[in-house]
Amino acid sequence: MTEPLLQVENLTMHYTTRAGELSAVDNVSFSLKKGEALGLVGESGCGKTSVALTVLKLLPENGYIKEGKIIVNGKDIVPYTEQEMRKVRWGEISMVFQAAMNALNPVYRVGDQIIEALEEHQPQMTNKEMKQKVTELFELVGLESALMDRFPHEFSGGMRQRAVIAMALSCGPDMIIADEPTTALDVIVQDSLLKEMREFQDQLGMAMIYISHDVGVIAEVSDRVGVMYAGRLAEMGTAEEIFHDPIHPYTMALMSSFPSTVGEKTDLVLLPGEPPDLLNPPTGCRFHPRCPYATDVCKEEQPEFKEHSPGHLAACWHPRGEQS
Amino acid sequence: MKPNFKLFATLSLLLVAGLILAACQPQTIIETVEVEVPGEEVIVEVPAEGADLDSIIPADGMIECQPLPEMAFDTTGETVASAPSVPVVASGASAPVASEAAQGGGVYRVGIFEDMTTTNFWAANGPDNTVWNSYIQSPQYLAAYNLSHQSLQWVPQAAAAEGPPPVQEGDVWTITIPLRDDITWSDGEQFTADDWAFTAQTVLDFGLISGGWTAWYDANLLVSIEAVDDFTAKLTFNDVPGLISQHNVWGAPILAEHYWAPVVAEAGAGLEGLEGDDLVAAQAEAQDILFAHQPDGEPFAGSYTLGQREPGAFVTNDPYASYYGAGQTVTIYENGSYQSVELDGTTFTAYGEPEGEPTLEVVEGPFFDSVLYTIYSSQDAALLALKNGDIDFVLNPLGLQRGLLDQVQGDENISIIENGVNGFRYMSFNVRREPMNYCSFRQAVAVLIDKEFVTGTILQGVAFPLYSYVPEANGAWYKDDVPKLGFGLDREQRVELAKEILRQDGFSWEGGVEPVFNVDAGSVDPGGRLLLPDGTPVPNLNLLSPPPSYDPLRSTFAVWIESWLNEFGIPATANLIGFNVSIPIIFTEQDFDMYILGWSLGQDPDYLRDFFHSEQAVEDGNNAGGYSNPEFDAAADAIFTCQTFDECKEISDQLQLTLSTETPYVLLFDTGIIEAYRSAGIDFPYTSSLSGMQWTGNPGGPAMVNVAKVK
Amino acid sequence: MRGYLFKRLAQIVITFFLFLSAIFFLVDAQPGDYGNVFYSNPRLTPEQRQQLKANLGLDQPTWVRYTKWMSSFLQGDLGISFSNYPRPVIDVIAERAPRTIVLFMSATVVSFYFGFMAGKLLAWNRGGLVEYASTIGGVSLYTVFTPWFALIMIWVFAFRLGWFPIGKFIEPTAWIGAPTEVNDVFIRLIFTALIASVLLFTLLVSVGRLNTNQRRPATWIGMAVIAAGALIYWLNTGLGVYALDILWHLTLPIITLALISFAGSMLLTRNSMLETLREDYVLAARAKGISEKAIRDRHAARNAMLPVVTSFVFSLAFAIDGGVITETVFSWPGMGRTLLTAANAEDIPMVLGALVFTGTLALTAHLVADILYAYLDPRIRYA
Repeated sequence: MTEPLLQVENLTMHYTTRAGELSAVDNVSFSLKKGEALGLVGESGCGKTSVALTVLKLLPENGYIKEGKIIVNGKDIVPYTEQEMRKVRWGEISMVFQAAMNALNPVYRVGDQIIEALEEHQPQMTNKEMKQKVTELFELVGLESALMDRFPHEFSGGMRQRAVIAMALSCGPDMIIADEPTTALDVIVQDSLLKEMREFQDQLGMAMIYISHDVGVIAEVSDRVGVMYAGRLAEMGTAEEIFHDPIHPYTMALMSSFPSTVGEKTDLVLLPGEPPDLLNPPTGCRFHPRCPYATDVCKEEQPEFKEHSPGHLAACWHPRGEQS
Repeated sequence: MKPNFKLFATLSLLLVAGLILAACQPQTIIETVEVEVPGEEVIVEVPAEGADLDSIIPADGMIECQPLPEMAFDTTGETVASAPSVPVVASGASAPVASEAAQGGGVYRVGIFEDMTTTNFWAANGPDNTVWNSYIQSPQYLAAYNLSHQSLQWVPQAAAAEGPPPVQEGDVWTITIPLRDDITWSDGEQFTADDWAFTAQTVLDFGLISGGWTAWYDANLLVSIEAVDDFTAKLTFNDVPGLISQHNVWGAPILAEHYWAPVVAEAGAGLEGLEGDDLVAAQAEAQDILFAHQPDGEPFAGSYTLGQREPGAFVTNDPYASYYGAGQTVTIYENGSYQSVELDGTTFTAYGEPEGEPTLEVVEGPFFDSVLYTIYSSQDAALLALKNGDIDFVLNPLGLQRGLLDQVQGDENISIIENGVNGFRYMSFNVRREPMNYCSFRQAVAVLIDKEFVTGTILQGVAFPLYSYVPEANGAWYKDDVPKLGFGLDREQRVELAKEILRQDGFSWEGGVEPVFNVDAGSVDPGGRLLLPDGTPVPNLNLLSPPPSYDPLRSTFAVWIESWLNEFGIPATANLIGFNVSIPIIFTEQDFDMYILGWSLGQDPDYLRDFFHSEQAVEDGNNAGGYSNPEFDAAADAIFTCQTFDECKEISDQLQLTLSTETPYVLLFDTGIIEAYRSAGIDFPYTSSLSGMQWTGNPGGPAMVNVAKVK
Repeated sequence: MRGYLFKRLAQIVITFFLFLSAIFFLVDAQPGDYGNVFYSNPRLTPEQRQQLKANLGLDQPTWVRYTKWMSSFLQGDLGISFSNYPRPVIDVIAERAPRTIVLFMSATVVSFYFGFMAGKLLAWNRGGLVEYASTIGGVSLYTVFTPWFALIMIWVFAFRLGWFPIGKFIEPTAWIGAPTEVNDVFIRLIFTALIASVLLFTLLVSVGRLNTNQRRPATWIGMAVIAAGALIYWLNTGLGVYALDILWHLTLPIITLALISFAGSMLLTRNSMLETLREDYVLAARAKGISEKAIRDRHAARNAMLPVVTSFVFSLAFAIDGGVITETVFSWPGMGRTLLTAANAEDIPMVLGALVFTGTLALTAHLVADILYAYLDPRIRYA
């Protein structure tokens, strides 16, 4: 088995606020292989974007990695300085941001913003070569090359997203983290974009982490899926397993909230309550206040995130199949 | 947060409304006092608020003065008074200073606060004549006569002898003055009588009336100046010129004919054969052209010539090498005798033969290689420069600000001098209105004003009180023994005296209740309102004064006067309004009851006529108060025809006596002038003089300033 | 864009005339008029006073005088100043404006430059002693009593330490016998600055076309060339010594003015930056691995500078108004004092003349600011 491209071990990240410490990412572990597409799914505020930002160490001033390792291409980047991180960012891991229209600086031309990244990571390229590269990238993502001299506000939403993807691809990173890449778009554009992204991925042999709250999107693009809840990974497995054979009560409820348009009518499983306040997370399993299967042990002890069948992990005292 | 906003808005509105209400409160000065008088019922009619005060103009005109009543205490002001804090400058009284032979060399550096507005001398005395132009230009020009150092006596400059008396020739009067034949202009040309004739003619032809022109070449009196020959000038007057009128034309500057004639001819081309309004209009245009000329290479005959001018930065005056008076020694003796001895031995003596010890000896320069006038825009910066040794003297018509004295006191390189100033600040009555037309009223007000209290206690000696219309600093004309109303009296005595003066003339107080000084309280218990002899109450009087931002001294006086009048039963309000605002109200509209302003005075007391002659009581005249006294008019006119100093002094004394009794003005105070100079760098042959050392332009010019003696 | 410009120009012209008319009537509405000065000379008779006033045209009703002034203005004649009689207004302005412009424009540039730099750094490095110190220091200087502060600067640096002269704009002794007048040197300085700015601007724009590695050295070389060019010009005219004298006298007032006013642009920049820092493109730039400095300058500051630039353009326009306090304390008699004395004395032609320039520059600044904004922010386009 080849070395995983990215290996995250027991990553814990907190925000320091005036009200106290906010446990945004707690003990998250996963790995990513070359060419693999990992989907992270969960409700708003469950920590998936935080995981992405943490991997790139793009934390705000009040965020810090409490513990854990992030191993990229065999090196743990947690102790890296900013200077060292600059090479990692974009050169090894790049990111496609949520609501791409804001990720582009409105006062610079789109092409120039991509060239900026190239200048940083490929300083040996001449102006001409960089322009050529941008043209290639645009063609790859399906944009006219003339558009590179336009400003971001002159692009439509879908075009902007493509441009941002082109930017993410520009320095030939090993993996891309796509944070809600299609959330701001209408479903038709969303559909074509997702297909195209899958294509580049295959074409370029890149690894990807897709982050979304939209289960359907994750289903389309991911090889493996991780379900997050309240800062922790609830379950992880192949897309098949997660969708058709979820074992964590949360995942089960999540999947049933997205009913199939074919097949029998089933009742939606409604979960009472709301996701917990991460300033004072519940003791033990963070899902226990809402879990229909919760017992005392769930209140007291945090379940270990462990394999229940090969490649299929969950953190639950009473996973499906082992319930009483 | 809607409720909070509403509350806030309501409170703000209430606050604003409250402020407006407070501001609009009518000023209640005095309330009618209801007094139970057994028997008679006293009916009081108060003039309605906003009544047309013009209707109060009395048909009787001015009411004559009565002699001062006899009181238990001395009303003539013999009691000990507070000495003025400014050293008195008597003419010629100064320790003798023997000037050594000139050391000379270097630059005499002077700090000034404004730039010259023009180098064109005609324009410099135009509508915008400023003192800064005069400072720099006066040393450049000669006149026939000049004022001597310190004693301020008229002595020849371009003239060759003392001024002869006027001679009548038919309808006109003439004076023939011999001029020196050894004066040359800085371009080598001879200085002749033609120059003087030309200057005078230009002023008359062009109708120049602004600045100094109107005094020097007075079109109402002077007909012409002719050059009888190169060195004899004949002045023709259409009426007998008195000593004072002669002084005016004696001191008139003379410009070079050979330089200015072509310029004047061009400017005045359109003046031929015009009369009346056409002439006036054409003159205005001609003046503009003349004033607009930029002098280039103008020759000078004074002790200095114009050097270099850098607008906004500096001006230099260069010494004129062929200045006729260079090196002359001037000596003034105890008996007032004046003697000048030039380098070639030429001697001039006047005002008697030298007797006794010399009180002043000055050797004239110019001593410096140049005079540099540097423009500083603030007193603070100028003082720092003085302390730093960047400049030697600071020129300022107002002198050094008192607050800055601390900066230079104690600095061993700097000397501070204080001198008297020729001017006064006063309160004037509008005698066209009741009750100001009553002499007794004016005298009573004068008695109530305790000048020593304000200048001494309140203003801490910054100003000193005045009683004479010619200030003490003008030694030659000063008259000390004039009636000093209220001098030396305390509040109780003042109130009693004022009451008696008014009672004598038929005034009374409402309800029969008079103001009385309450010994226990130490203040005056007000009585009823003052009533005129015919029983009508005195109306609310307004007192206009400059505000504290313009002159805190005058505004302080205004506030105290207001309070003294009110407690006495004279309802008065002090209106402190901007200076610019007050001028048209006072001089054009003449809509006031009393006002406080000031005058800067000339050397001779002809200004008494300017201020108080009935001719000047018209719109835009000086006599805004409307004082009209035919006897005074006659005497004032005579001051322009008296021929000798003694004659004129007698008339001046008489005028002063009349004014001090009739009190159209209550003279208030004046301040001295403080100057600082770098004694480590320069030396003045004397430091007491009327108005200080600022006029080191005239006499003698910066010519008399020398490098400090090496210690 | 053309239609927009045309409309704006028309607006400007109308505003300008309304402005001038309003000033005329306001100054005239003050009680009295310039003729007040004639009352201080008691030797003048009432007729003479009236004559003098009539010579200045003050006896005529307001409307007549207004029409006269307006018609001569439209013919390009600003009239004759009452208080500087008989100098034409334009003459007085031509004398005072160059030194006012040099001083206040330089001070504005320096102040904004430092304010912008400081604000940029402050927003970037939040918290810490530096932020507190700069904010408190900057605001204290902003609100300090200017005449006192200026005097203290003079007292410390000129009087005590002797590093700078005590006010004035030239050293008189150095200029005695100078080959040309001071204003000539001032005007040359203005032109040098103007041309250098244009060249610098062109340089910065063209350097953008180069590769990143080449950019820095190219910029430095370009600036060195421009500086050398200026130096050669000055040496050639032989006026270098005089220009240096002026520059030496400029230093302390500029430092003082910059200290007093930099807090304004500093806080404006800081606040503007704090907002832009929250934008996603800053995060995206970080993610791209760009250096901190580049993020700060190219992304955050570049977007934050828009309000600061507008403020800067306006401040430049008002440089011609000078500042009475600075001019007084440092003895640089300029347009500020001129305007103040003229307004106090009711010298209407002078006031209007000075304000013609102020008005023109201010209205132009409006237009320039609008155009500049469109250039700086591509999202803004005018119909």
